[in-house]
Amino acid sequence: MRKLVNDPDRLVDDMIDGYVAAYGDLVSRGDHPRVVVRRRSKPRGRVGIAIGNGSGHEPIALGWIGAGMLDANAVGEVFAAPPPDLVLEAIRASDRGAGVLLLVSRHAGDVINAEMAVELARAEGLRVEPLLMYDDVSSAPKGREEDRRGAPGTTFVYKVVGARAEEGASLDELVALGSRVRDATRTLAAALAPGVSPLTGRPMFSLPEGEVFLGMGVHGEPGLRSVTSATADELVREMMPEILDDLPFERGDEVLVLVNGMGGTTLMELLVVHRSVAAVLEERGVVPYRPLVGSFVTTQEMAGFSISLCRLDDEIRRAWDAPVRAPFFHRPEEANP
Amino acid sequence: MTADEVRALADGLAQAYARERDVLAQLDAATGDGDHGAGMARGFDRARAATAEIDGDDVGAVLTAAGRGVMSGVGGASGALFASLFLALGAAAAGATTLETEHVVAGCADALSRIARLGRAEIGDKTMLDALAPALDALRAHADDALADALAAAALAAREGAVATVAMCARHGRARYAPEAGVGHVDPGAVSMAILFETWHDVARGGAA
Repeated sequence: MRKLVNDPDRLVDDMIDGYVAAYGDLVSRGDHPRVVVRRRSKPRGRVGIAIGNGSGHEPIALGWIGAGMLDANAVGEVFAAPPPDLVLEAIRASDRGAGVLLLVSRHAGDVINAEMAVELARAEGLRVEPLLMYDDVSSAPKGREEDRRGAPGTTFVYKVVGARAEEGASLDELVALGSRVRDATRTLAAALAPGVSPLTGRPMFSLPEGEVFLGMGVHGEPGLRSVTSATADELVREMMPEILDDLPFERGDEVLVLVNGMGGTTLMELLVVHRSVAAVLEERGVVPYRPLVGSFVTTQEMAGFSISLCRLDDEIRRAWDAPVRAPFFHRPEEANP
Repeated sequence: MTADEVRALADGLAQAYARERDVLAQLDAATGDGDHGAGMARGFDRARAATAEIDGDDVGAVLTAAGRGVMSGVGGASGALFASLFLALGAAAAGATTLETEHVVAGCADALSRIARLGRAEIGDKTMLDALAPALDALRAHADDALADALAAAALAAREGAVATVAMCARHGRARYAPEAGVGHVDPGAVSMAILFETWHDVARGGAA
């Protein structure tokens, strides 16, 4: 498949060039060309929020740099975690004198590089705490939650800790809050077609025609099972019990909802999926709060979607409502109910 | 090995991984995402440049510079782990002007436990450890020998270890999601580790890399 690439070795740099040129009022390059930071740093004395991730999944995470969310993003090669020294640059760039929370989506490369970056940062005298994020119910059985992969439900963690950091929460409070959001979040994905690597031009995995894989990871990591569900309703009805019964979410619970597209599924389809999700929640007596529908965590043109739920409490609700001004996550103050 | 010979090692590894780039990419594509070859070639090119930039005859400093180059250049999980090996060797040989077998034994032993901890992997999990662990055993068995002789044994042991990963089930990285957890395929990280010891042996005995 043909992709719009100038030079594969410069793909990530070209993307960042285009991003900071478009949104220079909100973001800029840090001291390192592969680190993107806010145009205006948050005030001193506030905890910084940093993350490193492989590229190819835009708009996450560089699209979420801005007031109310992230401070700095170390941008790795395509689908490869950024190296420790690059993550260290993002930690340094986020530090406003009150410590840094380093968000880590649980994938082998991300975890290893983040751990080494934390060691390097601490050796420099920086205060940093890593927060491992995992929410994919299909990647390890219940009871082994800490072995699960990070999936799009990590969105809830970004948003909530980002909001509370802006308000002046301490590093310890943010670690506890982020852990609580993670532990209250569950995600399941359905894959319909693979994405194509912009480096090789080849599909990243193959799927038998007509089959949908539940729980397949964004790089083709298998999950629960394949199904032949034909409609959005059938598929969502197959998926929702896996999510709801895992936490479990119970009658009367209020939940954040994210229906995330993987890049090759249209907003029209995602809205149809959300209709089915809302119907199942209503039957179960679970109450959605300000859901989010769109393609935020993508893998090129991979077709499919994920459903994430997070059980709310008052602090999480307030943080979800808080304003954000990032290029690809914009929640103005006045929009709050 | 002197500091200049360690620089020659970095150069030899950069050439070796550039040569093996496509082979490693194909091995990785069988169970992973196929970026291992490009990452190793990029990372060891960075290591070569880093060792050329650092002056002096402290072999530990040159090895540490190589580790930093690998760290910044490879990316993904394997970059940090291969960097750990050079950083551990650099720490073991800090201040020395000649790299001796005892430094290599100490550095590889430290690297083995560090890589196991960072990667949460054990021997037999179909990883680079399955080449590094037998290499370390061989180095220990030849601890009193000259470095080139110890590395000859280590290179053979690392290659045998890499080949043995064909029969193993992957429990880490993307390979664990491959059909039958990658049984029947060699682990590309273990192959890269074998290439490392083979190249090191070539350079240590004064041959062409």
